[in-house]
Amino acid sequence: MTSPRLEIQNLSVTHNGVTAVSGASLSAKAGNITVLLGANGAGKSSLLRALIGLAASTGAIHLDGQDISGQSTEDRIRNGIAWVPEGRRVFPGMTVAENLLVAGPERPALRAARMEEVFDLFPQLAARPTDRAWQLSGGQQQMLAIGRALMAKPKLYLLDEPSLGLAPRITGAVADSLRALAAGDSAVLVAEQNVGFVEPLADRTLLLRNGEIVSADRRAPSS
Amino acid sequence: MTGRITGRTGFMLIGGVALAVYALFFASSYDQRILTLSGVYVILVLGYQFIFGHAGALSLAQGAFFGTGAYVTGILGSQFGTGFLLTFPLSIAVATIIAAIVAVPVLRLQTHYFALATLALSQLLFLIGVNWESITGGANGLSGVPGITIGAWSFTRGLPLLAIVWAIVGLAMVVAYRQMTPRRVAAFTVMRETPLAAPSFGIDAGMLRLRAFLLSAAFGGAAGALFVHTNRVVSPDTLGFGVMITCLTMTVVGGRFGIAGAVLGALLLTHLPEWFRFLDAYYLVAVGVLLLASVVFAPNGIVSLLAADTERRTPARRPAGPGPVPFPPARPTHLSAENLSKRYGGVQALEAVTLHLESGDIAGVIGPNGAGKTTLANVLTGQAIPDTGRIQLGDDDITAQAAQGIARKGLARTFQTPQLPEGLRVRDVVETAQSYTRTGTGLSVEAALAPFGLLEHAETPCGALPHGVRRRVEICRAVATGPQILVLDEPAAGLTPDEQAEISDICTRLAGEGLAILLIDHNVEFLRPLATRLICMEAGRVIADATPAETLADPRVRDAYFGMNDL
Amino acid sequence: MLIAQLALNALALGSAYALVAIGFVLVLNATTAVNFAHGESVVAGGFAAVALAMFLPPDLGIPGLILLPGVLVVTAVLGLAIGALAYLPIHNRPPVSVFVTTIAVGIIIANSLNAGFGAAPQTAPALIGVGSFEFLGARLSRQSLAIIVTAIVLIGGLAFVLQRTQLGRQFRACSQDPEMARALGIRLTRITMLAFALGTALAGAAGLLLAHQFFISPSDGGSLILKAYIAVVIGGWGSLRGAAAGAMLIAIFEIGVAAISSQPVAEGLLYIVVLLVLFVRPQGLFGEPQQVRA
Repeated sequence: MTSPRLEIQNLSVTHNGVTAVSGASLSAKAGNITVLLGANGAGKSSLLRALIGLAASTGAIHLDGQDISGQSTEDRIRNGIAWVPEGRRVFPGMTVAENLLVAGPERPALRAARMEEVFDLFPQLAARPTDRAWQLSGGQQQMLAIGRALMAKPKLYLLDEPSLGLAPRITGAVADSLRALAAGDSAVLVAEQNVGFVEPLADRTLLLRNGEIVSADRRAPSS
Repeated sequence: MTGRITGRTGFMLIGGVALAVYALFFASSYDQRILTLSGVYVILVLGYQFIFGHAGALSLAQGAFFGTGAYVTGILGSQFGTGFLLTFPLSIAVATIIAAIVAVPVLRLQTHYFALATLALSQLLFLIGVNWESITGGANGLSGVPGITIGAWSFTRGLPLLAIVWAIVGLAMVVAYRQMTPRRVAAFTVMRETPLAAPSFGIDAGMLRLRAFLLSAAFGGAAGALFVHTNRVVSPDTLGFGVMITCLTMTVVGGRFGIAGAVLGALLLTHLPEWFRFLDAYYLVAVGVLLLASVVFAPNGIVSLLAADTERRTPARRPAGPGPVPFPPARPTHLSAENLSKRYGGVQALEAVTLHLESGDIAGVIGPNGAGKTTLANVLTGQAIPDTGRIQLGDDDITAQAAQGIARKGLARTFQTPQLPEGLRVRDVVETAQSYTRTGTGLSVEAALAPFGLLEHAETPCGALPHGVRRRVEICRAVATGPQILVLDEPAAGLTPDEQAEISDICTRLAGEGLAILLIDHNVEFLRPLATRLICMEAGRVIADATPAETLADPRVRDAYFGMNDL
Repeated sequence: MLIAQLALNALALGSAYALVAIGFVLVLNATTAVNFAHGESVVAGGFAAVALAMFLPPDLGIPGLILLPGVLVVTAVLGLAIGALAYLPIHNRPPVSVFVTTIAVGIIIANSLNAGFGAAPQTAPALIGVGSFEFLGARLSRQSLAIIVTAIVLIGGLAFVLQRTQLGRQFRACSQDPEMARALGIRLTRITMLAFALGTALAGAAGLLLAHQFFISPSDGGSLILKAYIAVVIGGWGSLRGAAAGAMLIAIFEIGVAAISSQPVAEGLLYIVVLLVLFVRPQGLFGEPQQVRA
């Protein structure tokens, strides 16, 4: 039985006097897709931002047993967390290849090799490596953002509403790519409001409402 | 005595007496001259405070206005022998006219462009000063500028000159004091710190900036004129960037706001060269270091380190009343928006949006991110102009009106993040909004705060308030102006359930008094019991507009917005 | 042909201005801050050349170009100092603060140079020797050619770094979305300091290039920053190519108008044109038109 890659205990996120998340606890296991379901304003983005270190938080955050709650964003990334934010936020003026490379490891050979892996997984990106990111469609940009996260081969993926603004036809491909991420023994934590998108994906679902996790597992956890 | 002087007025009085004593009994004629120059710079800095301090705009033209005043007096005085009583007002007038000519286009510019435009203007004037030799005397300037003579009295040098310059300084202080009433200072603060909300306060930011810019030019021209009477020559130095740097340094080091800061900065920096004479050529390097250090360590100037501006007031606790204080009734009205469209670049933010609001309505607006909710609020309140369509408030067509005009007509709004300047007290915020929207409700500040339970916080600076209270202040500010329509942008965001219930109660009571409310929020649970109607938007269009129950049951709405079953 | 000579002069001046403008935009993009000390950085480069030239044995006619590495190093270090003193302590404050701190640093630099070298204009050695040679019937100045070639090499080097290296990619990522760059592990402070170092080095190089033909004095900084500023407004706020193009246009305008009338008229007209451009399009020539009424 695999121990959770990510464990959060009693996480609270407060910003400018507003409590976005209070007392959240959850765990995400390697190879699993854990879904955090919540409507707009429920606190999903704040929770993920706290995990990547872009928002101040109190509470315990453990990655593979190590306490990372005091670490900077830079250190957390080095320890193996990747963040795919809401709205994708690819670098618009840079090409597909450059978007991937900039997120890659320091050694050039390793970097190039990883980019090839990403191209294998996303043939649509492989077809247009020199196109600028702003030229891509929403779905392609989402693939690029996920591919960018892949470049770091992280232990934990944090994805914020990957299906946002995408037509149902395209979300299928996004869902496939999420399965591919989990297949690589990483933990995947997806924050979403689109039930239809996450239902077939989730190994475990948690409900977030007004900053609190109100119900745990909808399904039995797979080991 | 801990050494901290409370109250700037005491500080000023003591300082003033000390200076007078020094000038009369201890100062040599050289010292008197330095003190005279200090006075000149006090006027320059007082003027700069209007645009750099209060309006918060980095004008690099202050030196140019100084130079303009200097040259007007210098040319008329030395070439035509014109007397002080004519040259002094003319110097002020010419500088102000130049400012007026460039003001309207220049003041529209954002910070980095505004700085550039004022810099270009000042360089242009400098070039004219150096090169138009026939009039300005070119690089050598003009000598033989007469001293100040008024009728039979002459104030050409020494103590008489010192006295008249500082008399004019006194006059300048009075003007500055009367221009910067607490009401206006508060308005400038709102404009500077929460520019987004300024129109909702009824503040015309453009007019405020214009006033500040013209005042700065007038004061600059006056200072330049007096400078030339002190030195008796005028040269392109007065138009060079050196004066601008001196002015900037004095303002930053002394303090961007307040007469005390101007005096302190001017005195300090006119005397520093004397005290640091041993540094020789490196003196100006020291000035640069001082300026840098001031910005980093004392951003509000030395004066803020020395004396407290206002005394800390403990919040007055009012005893709890028998029940919630009722809101004053609102005049009945309706708002109708027809066929509104708005395009930003490639995105159609609003498309054919039509909605009507009547007194007593609480219309909730929901929709996914990017549906156009905030654009709708912006268009209705005049902060964005719709491409097509019409908005009517009562009988008034307000489609093309400026935002502050619409606020004055009775359409108030709040913002997703409460737009409250940190340093202003709650009562100042409410008072400023009431004063500038001038809807003439005649409502006192206390009467505006009471129904919101905010009397206990009246004296607290907004920066010290917890989030839930800030939201209430934001709404109170909007309601205090006596509007008929209220647009609330996510008023419940980040509030505890108790605080949400408070807001909900406030809205119900307001609608009961005849206000029409448009309430944008994500939180359906908050809206469902509160709203009389629920509007759902998606991709810029209204896809549902019915009772909450009907809208929530609408399959299009569930499809577009929810995807969640457990609501 | 006089036209050819003028054109070459304009190209040379424009190349030097382009270096200044590009350096300005580098810092602007990495920090969104206007570096008012940038003009003084050019002057510092010129004086670094003057100072280093004192170590060269005279009368040997050693090309001034040999001073370039030294000038680049000195001004790069100066750039780091500017970043550390004027930007890092206050980078969370509103943009106006950075204007003032960089003005302050500019004052420090200008007056230190004044105290050290005196106020009089000085000259640095010619880049590859004086004089001119004949080409297709026109006399082309060696110095002008040297300026153009040096600028091309430097800008080309910068382009290579930005387009082809990981560091360059990180830099561009920071310019486009600093928070996302940070979320990918890119160290923002490192990139910021790099921008200051690179940008100031380019300015310093321009100082070396300008110092022989146009002389250099401690008070030149003001008009240089103003021209860089104008170039960026013309070319588009934040665009490297636009800045270079804007710089070129300014030089052509300056030399062209000065040839017809005089230098002060050229400068004055330039400022009037800039004011008119800003009046008509307050967002700059290439910015987005204002949608929201203030």
